[in-house]
Amino acid sequence: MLASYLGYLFYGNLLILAVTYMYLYKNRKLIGFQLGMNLSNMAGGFIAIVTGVILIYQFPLKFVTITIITTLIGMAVGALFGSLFDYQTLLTGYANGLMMGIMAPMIGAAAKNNEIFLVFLEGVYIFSLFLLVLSVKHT
Amino acid sequence: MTMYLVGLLSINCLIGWIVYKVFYRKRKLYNDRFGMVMAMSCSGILSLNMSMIFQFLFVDHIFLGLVLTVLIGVAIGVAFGSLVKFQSLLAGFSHGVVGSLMGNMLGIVIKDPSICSLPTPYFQMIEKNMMIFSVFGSLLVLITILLVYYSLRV
Repeated sequence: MLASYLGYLFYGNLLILAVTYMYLYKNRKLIGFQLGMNLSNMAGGFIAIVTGVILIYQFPLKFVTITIITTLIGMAVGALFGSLFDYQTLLTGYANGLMMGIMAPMIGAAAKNNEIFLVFLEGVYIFSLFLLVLSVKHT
Repeated sequence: MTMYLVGLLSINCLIGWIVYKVFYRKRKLYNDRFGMVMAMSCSGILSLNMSMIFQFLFVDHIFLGLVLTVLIGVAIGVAFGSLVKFQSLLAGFSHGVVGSLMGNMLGIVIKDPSICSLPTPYFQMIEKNMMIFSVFGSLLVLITILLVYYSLRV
């Protein structure tokens, strides 16, 4: 039943991420490099894991293409969030997004289209973005 | 196939050695933070790609390859991290171990797709997948090294 809504879920994740990025862009002067490093790590890693699991549920026959696409997405998002602050936060977010993106389709393939697992990952993703927004003003 | 994998592995070793020489010459310029970031990104991706190619090369010795590649990852991380301080040595060590374990996982899954319960058409294209993944990993190594090298100028 969940399988017919996977596309919308992916689109919604990207939309929430874009809103978070705009919020961080507005407040980027308040954030030091120590917090910026952790922020880019978290954003890149979690979007890579959720994207990998959703894509491998939707197209189970294209493992190779999905691994490459997920790695590129993780790298790009980590570098994008890191580039708000500094060149070295960019490198940190890039490396972490790459690692998580390579690992994510394997987890999704081993979970065998389990829907509860996807709901759990989605909850973790939303909670991580909530923490990320909360940590901007309260450091 | 074996010659191809050996060639890619030696290219990776060559890239790592050249980059280590270049970074060793400029090690007086680094502050603590740059040393940590450099050790994390370089050792992680290099040990990932080298352990993946190692697993493709030794098809029927999974355990031996695992132990050997984790030791190689530790060596790479300590070598890159010891350029600056103990803090960067710890970061390089942990990322080297994590990267080599993840590369082993990826290599074993590609060699035997039934571990991750991938569908049956994968059993016909194991060789093709090996070639695609090793080339992709080498490209990732090249991009990462270029980004880290570019950050010396920023």
